[in-house]
Formats: sequence, structure tokens, C-alpha cells
Amino acid sequence: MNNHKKRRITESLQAYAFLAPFIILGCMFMVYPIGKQFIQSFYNTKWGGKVVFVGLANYAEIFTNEIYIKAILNTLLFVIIAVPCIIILGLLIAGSIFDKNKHYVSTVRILLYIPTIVSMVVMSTIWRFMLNSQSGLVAYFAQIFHWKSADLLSSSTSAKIIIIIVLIIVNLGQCVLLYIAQMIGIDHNLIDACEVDGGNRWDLFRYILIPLSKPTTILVFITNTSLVLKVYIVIQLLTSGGPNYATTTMMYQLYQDAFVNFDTGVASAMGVLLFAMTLVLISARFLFTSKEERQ
Amino acid sequence: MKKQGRNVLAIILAAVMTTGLAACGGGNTNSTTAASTESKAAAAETSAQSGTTAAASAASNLPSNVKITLWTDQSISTDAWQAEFSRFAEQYKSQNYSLDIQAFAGSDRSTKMAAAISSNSLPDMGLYAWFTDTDWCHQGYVLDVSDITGKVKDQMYPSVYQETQLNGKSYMVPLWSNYWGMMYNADMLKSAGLEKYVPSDPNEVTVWTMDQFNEILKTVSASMSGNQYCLPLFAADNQADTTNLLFLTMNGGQLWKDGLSDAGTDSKVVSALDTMGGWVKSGYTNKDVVSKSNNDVPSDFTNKLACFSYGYYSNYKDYLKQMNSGSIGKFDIRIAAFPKTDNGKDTYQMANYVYGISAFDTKDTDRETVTKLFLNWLVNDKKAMTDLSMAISSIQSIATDKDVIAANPVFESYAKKIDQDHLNQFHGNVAGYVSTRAMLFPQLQAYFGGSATAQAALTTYMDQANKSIQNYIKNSVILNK
Repeated sequence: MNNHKKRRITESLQAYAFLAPFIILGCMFMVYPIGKQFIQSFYNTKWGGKVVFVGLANYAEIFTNEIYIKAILNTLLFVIIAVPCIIILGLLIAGSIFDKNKHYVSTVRILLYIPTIVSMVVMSTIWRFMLNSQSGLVAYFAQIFHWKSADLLSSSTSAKIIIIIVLIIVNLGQCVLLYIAQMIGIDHNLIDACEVDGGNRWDLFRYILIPLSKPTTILVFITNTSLVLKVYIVIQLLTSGGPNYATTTMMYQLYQDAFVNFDTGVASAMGVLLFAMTLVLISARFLFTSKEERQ
Repeated sequence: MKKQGRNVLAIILAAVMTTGLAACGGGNTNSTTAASTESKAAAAETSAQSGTTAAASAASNLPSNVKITLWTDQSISTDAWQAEFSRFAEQYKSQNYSLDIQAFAGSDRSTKMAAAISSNSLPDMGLYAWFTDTDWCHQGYVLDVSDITGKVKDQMYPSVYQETQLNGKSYMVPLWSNYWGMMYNADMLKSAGLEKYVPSDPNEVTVWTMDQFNEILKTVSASMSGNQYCLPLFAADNQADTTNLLFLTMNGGQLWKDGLSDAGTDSKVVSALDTMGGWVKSGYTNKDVVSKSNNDVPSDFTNKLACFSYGYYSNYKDYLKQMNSGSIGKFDIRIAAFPKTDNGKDTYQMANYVYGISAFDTKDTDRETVTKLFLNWLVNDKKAMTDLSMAISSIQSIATDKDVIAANPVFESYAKKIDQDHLNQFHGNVAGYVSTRAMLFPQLQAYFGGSATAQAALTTYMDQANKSIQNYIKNSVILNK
């Protein structure tokens, strides 16, 4: 008995020893900054290096300032539109090609994944060149098709649509990759059974592929929600949050407060709100899991 | 034994992994730590080697083995600055002073300074434009250098000396002034039949009346084709927003009144914005004002897509250098002032960018002592002030020196035409001016995008700017001492 207990303790110690690097570094670079940010959100550190406790004033500033409210609403809008679009498109594309010739599947996978691995700075710069209303690709087509205006970034609506399109293109590749991997692993007997029962491609998609891809859908939902909530580079390089705050997001405004306005208190408060929003949205996955799965 | 061996191996592996990951992490912190450790080691070694150093420094009461840092967003010649610093350090040879220079893009300035403030790693000196410095002054990070500038006050241009003061104290040692104006392609004006509006002297700062400027816009635009346009207007971000501020005052309006923004209540400012809108509607400008940044304008100008560009003397010199080296095609580039009417009378204006060095509060008395020693030497050394100046020196005798003017013929025209009455203090020296820059361009976007009238856009800008300014006034370390 003693030997058994000793062995269990030894094995536990070994496990903790291997976990130690992640725990230590995780605490240093993740837990500590999050905690510090939470505490800093109750302080004002802007004036003369002094740290002054201001209570909930930073949060009050966020919820009473029109610009911050626009940032929160824009962020929610991008999440509500972009994430479902990524999931739906990912499912449709993966569902269309997963059982095709493997070379064809690989080619499509690579083509869709390239935007994911390209640097966001490069991606945003290329989009900026394309959208240049004087000499960009859009301007060229505008001339050919006699469009009224080629300045897609000057209108609030079209600027938002552009941002959503860029977010979808950047994140779609990974989504398709995961769905294809999931669908390839589905038991072929189920697919054959569907055929035998007279089901068409849509029936296969609706009754077999989508339900069996639920775990992947949850993963894709969580990762993409987090990515869209944190969107910053494409906003900075493409629209600078404009026109007139139409594409300002919480992360963009957080950066402006922290590094342009030197208002780390308000920036920290915005960060805490972003963290809370991420937790709430990701926790919503529980709505889509069955009681048995949760147990 | 076997089990113990496994345990020991597991612990060793875990320790190695931790050490390896810890060594990889930290990034810049490590390099900073390494650099400071290296400098401390070098300092200790130097101190140990020169046995007379301690005695000498003790006798002079000056710190020894000090390295000070200079940050700048200007394209300075680091060699020239190091050479001049060496001349200064020669006087304190036994103290062993050195200078580390970091130059970066203007767009990185705020981020770098914010990171430095947060991490208590401010540079000793910052060579920036005065208007970008003021917020840091009000936040309490810049040292009072009145004791240095006060001694050379009589040698400086009065406007420059006063510009760098807040609440009666100097927070910058001004080195040079760069006048922000327009640059234009004179070949395009000549091609459009407007030779009469191009001075025969290529070094003369061109001045037009408002009517003449409108005629130029109309005629040159009519002579253009394809993607070409005459006058760039931009509102994508706050880069070169001085241009927009100068246009907004072209009808004689005032942006600042009693330390606050007056943009929304001054009808002349509102009418100026409508004038700009009229230019866009008439086709004199680029169509994509909302999404165009000033960063895009130089390439349009050098590729002859635009007739005008904006900048100061340093930019003009850069263009000439690029033409001489063949980097860009040659054309007749000239400097012009912004046209303006004031109570019906034609006049003109440029904005004054005063560049100088601010000393930051690093809380390190040794470094602050050496910094002030250097600044005191610099502002009193004619050779250094001449060699390091990138435009019009703040010292009158240097700015009007025959050799300086011979090397920069445009300076003679500046001296004749650009005096205090024609210089626009576009920032008003208001508290929190830098923070208000983030509020102007969104409202210009709203106006040029058609979602707000000029009055509504400027009123919103004014309200937002004044909220920030009043916050600065309430909390300013300088104003509330």
C-alpha cells in the first residue's frame, strides 16, 4: 500500500515537473499580465507617473463615451457576421470536396490556407493597394464597368463589409482544414447508408456531415470568435478605424488609448471588457452541447 | 535505483525545459538588460583601468562613465551627431561620456514613448517637433530647461523661444524651425499656361492670392488626364493634419481661442471646410479624400499624378537629392505658402515646426546631469548648431549666416517672406493638442463622406477636443504645480 501511494506521488511529481515550465511561464506571461491589467483598470497612471485609484471611472468613461460604445458595437457586429460566415462557408466547402480526389482536396486546402499563413501586415497592405481608388485593382474594374465610385473605404457600410470580407478570407483556410480532417474521419458506412437510403448530397451534408462535425464547429467557433474579437492590424492599416469610427473596434481603441493617448487605465478597462466578452461568447457554446455531452 | 534514476532524469529534463523557455522569452527586455549590464561592465572596467578617473571625477563633482540616449523621429545624420557629441565629450575626457542614438519613423513615436513611459525606460533626450512634445510636458515627463535656454534667449528668434515655453518655463532646447508649406510641380503650371504664377527664381517661396490659387486649381485640373489630380486632400488618419489645419484657417478663421478649440463656432473655419468640399466637388482634388493618407501623397507627387504635395524644407531637399541621384524623375519643384484671406485682405501662411531636444525625467541624476551639460554646450556651440541644423536654425546669427544661406538659397526667401505674421501656430500651444489630433480626421471623414455638414463635423470635433483639453488643464503637472 505504501509502495502504491509512493508510486502515485512520484508519478504526480513527474507530471508536475513536466508541467512546471508551462505553469511558471504561463503565470508570468499570461496570468500576471491579466491580473495586473484588471487591477490597473481601476487606476489612472497618466499624470506624472503617479498611480491614482479612480474606482470605476475608467469603466464609466467607456460606457458613456460615444466612441467607445461605437467600438463595442462594431466589435460585436464583426463577430456576429464574420464568425457564422466562416463556419458556414467552411462547412460548405469542406462538405463539397472532402470525398473527392486527394490531390484536388490538397490543392484547395493549400489555396485556402495561404491567406491564413501570410502575415496580416502583408495581407492588409495588399488589400490597401487593391482598394486604392486612384490606381488600385478596384479602380481599374470601376473604370471598365463604369461604376460611380471606386472608393470602397470612404463609406461606413462598404468599409465594414471590406473588413468582414478580409476577416473571412484570413480565417477560412484554417476552418476548411479542420472540417476536411473531421469529415475524412467519418465512417464510410454512414455515407454509404445515406446513399443506399436514397439520400442526395444535401441530405448527406445535413443529416451526417453537420451533426458529426459538431466538435469541430465548436472549436472553430471558439478560435474564430477569439480572433475576430482581437482584430487590430487590418483595421490599423486599412481604415485607421474610420471612416468616422465606423470600423473602430475594441482592440483598436485599446491600442489608441494605451500607446497614443497614454491612458493605460482606460486601455486596461477596455482589455478587461474584451476578456469578459470573450468568455461570455465562448461560454455560449454550452447552449449547443447536449446535457449528456456536458456530463 | 531505476525509479530514482527516472525521477532524477525527469527533474533534470523539466529544469532544462524551463531554463530553455525562460532564456527564449523576454525579447527586448533581455536585450535592454544585456545592454545595461554591458554598459555597467564597461563602465566598471574603464573605472578600474584609469586610476586617476575616480580622483578627477571626485574633484570635478561630475558623474563618470555615463551613456545618455537620444531618440528621434527625424532623418538625422547619426555620424554628425556622434561627431559633435565627441567634441563635447572631449572636454570631459576623464569622465567618459557616450551617446546612444535611436532613430525611427514618426508613426512609431507615440508607441515607443508610451512603452518607455510604462516601463520607466524613457530616453534621456528626445529630438522631436515641439507640438508632439507638449502632451508629455503636461504629463510631467519632461524636464524644465529654462536654465539652459534662458542664457541664449537673446540669440534666438523670439517666436521660437516663446513657442517652446509652457506656463513661463522652457521644456525644449529649440534647434531649428522647419516651415510646413506646399510644394508644387512648376512644369505642370507652365504646361497649363500659368507661367505667370511661377517665380523666375527657383529658390523663391511662391506666394499666391486666394483667387490666383483657385485659378491654378481650375486650370491645372482641366489640363490633367487619367488618374491625375491637382491638389491632394486627405483625411484617412492624423498624418500631416497640419495641412488640414492650415486649409481650415485659409478664410481668416481661428482654430484656438483662450486655450480651447473654437473650430465649431468660428464661421470662417466652417466656410473654409466648405471651400475644401467645393474643391472636391469641382474635381480639383483626388476623389478618395476619406481614405487617402498623406503617406500616399509623396508617391503621387513624384510620379506626376498630383501637382501639389505638402512638407517642409527637409522634404524639399530630399526630393532634390532623389532627383539628382536618379531615384525619381526630374521636374521643377518649388515651395509655396498656403494662400489665405484675412478680413478680405490677401495674405499667406506657413506652419512653424520647431524642432529641438527635450530632456526627459529618467530619475537618474547622473544621466540628467550629463544631458543638461550636453544641451548647455550644444546650444552655445556655433559649429554644432550649424552642422546639426536641418532647416532654419533657432539662433538668428546662424540662420542669417552667409555660408548657411549660400548652401540653402531658399532661406533667403524664407527670411524675406515668412515672418511672425505669416507663421501659423497651428497647435495653439493648447494643453493636450496631440490628443485632439485623433478627433479631427474622423470628423473630416464624416464631412467628406457626406454624413455630416461642415458645421456639425467641426462642432463635434470642437466638443471632443475641448473635453480632452479640459482634462489636460485639470490634471496637467505643469499647470497645477
